[in-house]
Amino acid sequence: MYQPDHMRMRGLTVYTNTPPRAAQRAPGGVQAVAMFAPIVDKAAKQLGIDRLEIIRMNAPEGQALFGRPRQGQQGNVSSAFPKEAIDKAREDFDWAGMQARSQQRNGTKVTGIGAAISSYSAGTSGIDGLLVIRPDGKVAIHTGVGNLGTESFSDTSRTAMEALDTPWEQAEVIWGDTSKHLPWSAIQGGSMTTHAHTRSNWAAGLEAKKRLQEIAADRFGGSAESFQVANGRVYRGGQSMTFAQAAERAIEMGGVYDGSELPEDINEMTTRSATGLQGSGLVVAIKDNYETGGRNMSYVIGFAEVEVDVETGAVRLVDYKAAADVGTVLHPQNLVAQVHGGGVQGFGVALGQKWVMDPQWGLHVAKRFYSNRPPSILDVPHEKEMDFSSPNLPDPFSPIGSRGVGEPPVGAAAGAVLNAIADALGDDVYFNRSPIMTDMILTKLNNETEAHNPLKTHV
Amino acid sequence: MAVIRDKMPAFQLFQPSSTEEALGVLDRYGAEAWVLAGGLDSWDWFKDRIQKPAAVVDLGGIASLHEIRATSGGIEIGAMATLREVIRHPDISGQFGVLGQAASKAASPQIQNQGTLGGNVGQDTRCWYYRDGWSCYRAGGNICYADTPTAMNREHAILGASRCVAVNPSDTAPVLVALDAEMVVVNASGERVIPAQDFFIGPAVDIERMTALRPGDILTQIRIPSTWANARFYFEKARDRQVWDFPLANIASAAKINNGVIEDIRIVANGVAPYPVRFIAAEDAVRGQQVGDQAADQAGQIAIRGVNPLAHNGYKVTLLRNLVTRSVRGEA
Repeated sequence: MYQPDHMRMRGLTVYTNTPPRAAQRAPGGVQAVAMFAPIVDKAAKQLGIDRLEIIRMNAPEGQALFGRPRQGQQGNVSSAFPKEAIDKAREDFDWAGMQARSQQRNGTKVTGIGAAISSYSAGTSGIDGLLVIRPDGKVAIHTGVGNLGTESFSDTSRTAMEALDTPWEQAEVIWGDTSKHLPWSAIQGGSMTTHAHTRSNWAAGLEAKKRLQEIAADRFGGSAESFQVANGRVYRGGQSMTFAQAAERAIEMGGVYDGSELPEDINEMTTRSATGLQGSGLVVAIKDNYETGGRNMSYVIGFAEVEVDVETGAVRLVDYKAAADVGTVLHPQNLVAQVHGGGVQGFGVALGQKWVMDPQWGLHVAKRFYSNRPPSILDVPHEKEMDFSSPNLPDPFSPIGSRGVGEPPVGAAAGAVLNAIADALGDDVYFNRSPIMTDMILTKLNNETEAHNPLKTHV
Repeated sequence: MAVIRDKMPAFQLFQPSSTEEALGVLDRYGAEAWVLAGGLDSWDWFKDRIQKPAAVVDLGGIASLHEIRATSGGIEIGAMATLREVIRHPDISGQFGVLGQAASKAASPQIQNQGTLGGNVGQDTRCWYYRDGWSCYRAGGNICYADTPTAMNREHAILGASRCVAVNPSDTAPVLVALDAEMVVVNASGERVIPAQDFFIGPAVDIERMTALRPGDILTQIRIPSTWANARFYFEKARDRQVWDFPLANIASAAKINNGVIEDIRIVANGVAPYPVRFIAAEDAVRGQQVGDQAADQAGQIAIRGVNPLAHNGYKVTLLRNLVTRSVRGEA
């Protein structure tokens, strides 16, 4: 998230059975962002630097260094465009207008604005693609991706049809049941799926195209490269075969065309699945061997506007916007759902969710939703729709250029809201902890001392 | 041994169609019976296996308990009227809008559709030690787990404690006290009418109950006299989220203002004590004064006299003072 030229940092790890919270999502990441974002925000104020500019100037770019050094060598990410995301968001979200509203007073309410950056893993690679062009002409795309609600089993399969330049309607996605001969797939966690499966399906689609060209060359003569593939056909001039015809021919030809001979480098699960499909059409099984360029990370920058009631300490979330660098945007609607949905989880981190344990008896006391306070839909800003922006710049090492995103939105929203509350309260009021709640705000506003050591007690 | 908390214990379910029938069952089962309204309080107890009544008497089938009607003296609301019905009823919104306002802040829209007014005023405290089955005074034991220097008591009482420091969590209760409402309670011996203020009892009266209801009792109606109809009302609920949470504190006031002068006023808060607290001294101080900051601030200062904050709820003192101030001011 931050790549300054020089940095001094001290961190202390404490082993405890009673942490103030766990992460429902973005484990490690959300806790870290909730700690770092206010510190950087405070630094900006003390240095007199624009609070968004300090994020931008320290943001990673290109194949930025990343991770713990192994054998003296530090790794890197495949691409990073948070600077471009910030530049676009600065305009799209009218950061200047937001700043003008900072600390504006309206009766007993004071406005605060804040921004924060968050990053998290966004892909893996080396997964297998598996598809069958069947004698009925359908392209059956087999995938081990499940549906967590994001429909990624379908979205990530589309790249195969794009490689074949053939309408999506001719595809059939085979998923959801391991008895249906599914290939080795990515873990559906840590936002791996989008990056991994757009690549593996693209590879499968291109491999299918190559085989179609070979089948056509075998039939009509000439070089395989002289044939084109589009709209469910492989053709050269007037000579053409439909996918259905090519599939039947593939079964006759056997060998590498119908799944009888398979690549050595695919996972043994894919081998078993492809073997199970042997003879059912043009069977393509292939490993994603494309360049990776490094580790995959995605970035979200959140922008929050809150209203704090100085008499009751109540915080109302007025607006939230998010800018995301996820490489190529694969599915705009789902992307916004991920970024804003994850953002809502971030609101909970900033405003209400924590573990409460009785220190004498060592037992949890906040055990029901009304004590634990996960954010509800009525806690989400609703005077206007939450805005979204993305620079849509491809990761240069992936054929599709897409990276995943699931975790960064949580930290970005949490950090932005924490910074917005601090902005509203002014005078360098940072709580050094979260969630920030009514009691903490009233205590600060009235210059009262907290009754307990904040680092020792989570109330 | 793991504590099983995921299956309700068995009980006999009775669904009478008349109050008489219900009373018959309650009389038969005595302390082993449990009265069920909307269930939003009851199911938590049963699912956690902390309360295990032998008989549950569901009042949902008793039509007379759902009625809301204007009377010669005001409005009579059946105890089984849902919060949604209270919010929507034209007679209530027309004359006592503050009650609908409070009901609309209770919990969530879904709970308002299912929860009843009688249940909302009869509900038990949400002290998380008590609710989790710890053997405290309120549960028949001889200790309070919340009133210690290290206890987690952010949401507990700053006033009115008496060994127990739990708070009354109802949003409609302070409104009903402010409106001089009366609770109609029936049991096998007959009917009695209890002023709202006396309906909510504190631990000094009986540490095991939040209200005057005893086993065998059914709250049937809530009567609101026309005394405060169309007065200047104020209601505010302070809570952590925008929905669902019980109040950290809430305030209800009804005021008769004439030419900018406070002729009479009621100021009642909840969530700060084991019962809704009426701030009589503050009311007395501002009666006859001009509506404005001076009267408002004075009321707030008087209201917090004698507060007894615990280790983690000192913020409630400022919160209560400001809510009382706002209620006299008439705006946030």
